[in-house]
Amino acid sequence: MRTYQVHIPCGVAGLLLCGVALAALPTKQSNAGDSMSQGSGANGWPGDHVELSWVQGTSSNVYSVYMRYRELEPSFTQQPESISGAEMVGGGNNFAAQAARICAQEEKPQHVSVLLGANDVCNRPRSSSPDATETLYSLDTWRNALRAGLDQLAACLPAGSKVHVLSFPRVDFLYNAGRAKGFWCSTIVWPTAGICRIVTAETQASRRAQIGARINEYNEATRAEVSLYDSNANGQNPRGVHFLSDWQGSIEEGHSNSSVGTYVFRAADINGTDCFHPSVLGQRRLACATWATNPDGAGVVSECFQ
Amino acid sequence: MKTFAMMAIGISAATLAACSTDVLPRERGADDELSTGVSESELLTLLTPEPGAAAAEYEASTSRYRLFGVQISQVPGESFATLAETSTWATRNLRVGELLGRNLRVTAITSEGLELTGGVSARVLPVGQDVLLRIIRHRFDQAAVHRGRHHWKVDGGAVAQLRSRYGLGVQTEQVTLFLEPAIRLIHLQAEGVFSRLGFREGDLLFSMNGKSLTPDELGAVADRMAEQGSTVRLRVFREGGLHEFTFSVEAP
Repeated sequence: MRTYQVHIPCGVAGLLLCGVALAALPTKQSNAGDSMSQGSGANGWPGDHVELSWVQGTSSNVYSVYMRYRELEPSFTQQPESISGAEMVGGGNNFAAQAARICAQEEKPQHVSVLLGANDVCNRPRSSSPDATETLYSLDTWRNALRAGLDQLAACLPAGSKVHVLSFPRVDFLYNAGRAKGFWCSTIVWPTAGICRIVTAETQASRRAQIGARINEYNEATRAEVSLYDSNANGQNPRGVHFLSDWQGSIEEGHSNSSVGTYVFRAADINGTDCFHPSVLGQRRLACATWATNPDGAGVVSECFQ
Repeated sequence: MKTFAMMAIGISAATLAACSTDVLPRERGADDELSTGVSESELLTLLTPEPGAAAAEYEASTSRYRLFGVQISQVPGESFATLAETSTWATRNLRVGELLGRNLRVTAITSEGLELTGGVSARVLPVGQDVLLRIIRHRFDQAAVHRGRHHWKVDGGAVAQLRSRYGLGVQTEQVTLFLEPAIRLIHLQAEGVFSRLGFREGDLLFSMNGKSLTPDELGAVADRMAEQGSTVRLRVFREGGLHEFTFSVEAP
């Protein structure tokens, strides 16, 4: 790992105390994620467009995490493991499976971004009970799936590596964003393609709010788990991998636009083809917001969303 | 006859006891999967034997599983448990009545965990703990095995046999999505070729190896899946995303 000098402006008196701060910069990143991290549909064409991904993209229109690291460290490389359709919990490409693939990389990354969860909600069927969340994974299930991945990263990454676990967006707000986008989203695309029907076919705002509340709980549970790993309070991180989350609290608790999970995606943030995946603008905002909470990065999350 | 029945009960009880009572410490290796053959007498304990199949067509594998959690619903049949196989971390969402292999059935899902019954015995798998399970599968159950990302290994011989015995097991309708024609899979039968290959209700198939597909070409897809050495690339829209699935047809 190289060292990078950050020159902090200091006053004359402060110079004695402050001087030059040293921070270690990674030389390689990997990531665990789903179609959002694959730039799927960002330019309006279905399928992956990794050049437009917030994390691994190479397009200046997005200005990804990868590009930002490259500016700081020209030899910076990446080996992404995200894959479209992935969940935190379910299937054969879940977080634990992706973490295993990251650990199997010959040269281990020193920075790993994790953005999963939207498919855990969108892939579930609608509940026929008064509680709209009864078909969603329980919090225990979420935590155990998260731990299965974090355990592996804590065991295989070089000491001092950083794992940035991001909150995931409130997909319940997709209902309004798609309607604002155009009539074709709700009348043609969503029903034909079966896009996130647990929310896009849910006409009752109160039931969509129940789903939103469960997403808040998932994001809160992630923050709590990540904190346990970072401090090694659970004994699973004796080698000192640095784990951090971007979650500060929910929209309802007054933390709007403070994390990926508290940004209310609007019509311009989703593409007009599948009316689901982030547009180029949405990807750019994600890149900006995740960089703002990255310890190697800079910026203010709320400004990314303006 | 009585001796035979007692032996069958004994084997099934031993199978379940061996699999579900072992709560393992984390330190034990993750790669402790062990595959073995299945004896003729063990066939008698199967919950859903394949009609007319000999013992040689089955395989038993002992692997470590972890119950990630359960979701309890007030609606009968909506409760489910999420079980991960820890060598690959692939999960299944299981409901009451569903099978794990041919020898274990989910008989209850409670806040205590997942109850599996095989033969005459039942045990509860607790949430968050690793257990060893011995699962017996027929060759048909492994017609397509996930190899990571969007890649599957296909047993072409099994696909050919499935087709002759159960058919394609799918109905279709033609739709247009993103200005392109696609085939929507509907009414999948569990025993049919498409279900065994891992396709799901609602999947939209656009093309095979770069060529657009029409509903009457699904048989051609099955033909290619039975051809030893062939590689089938299907463009499929599933659960909100367009993916390219690759199937490599190899010797079992």
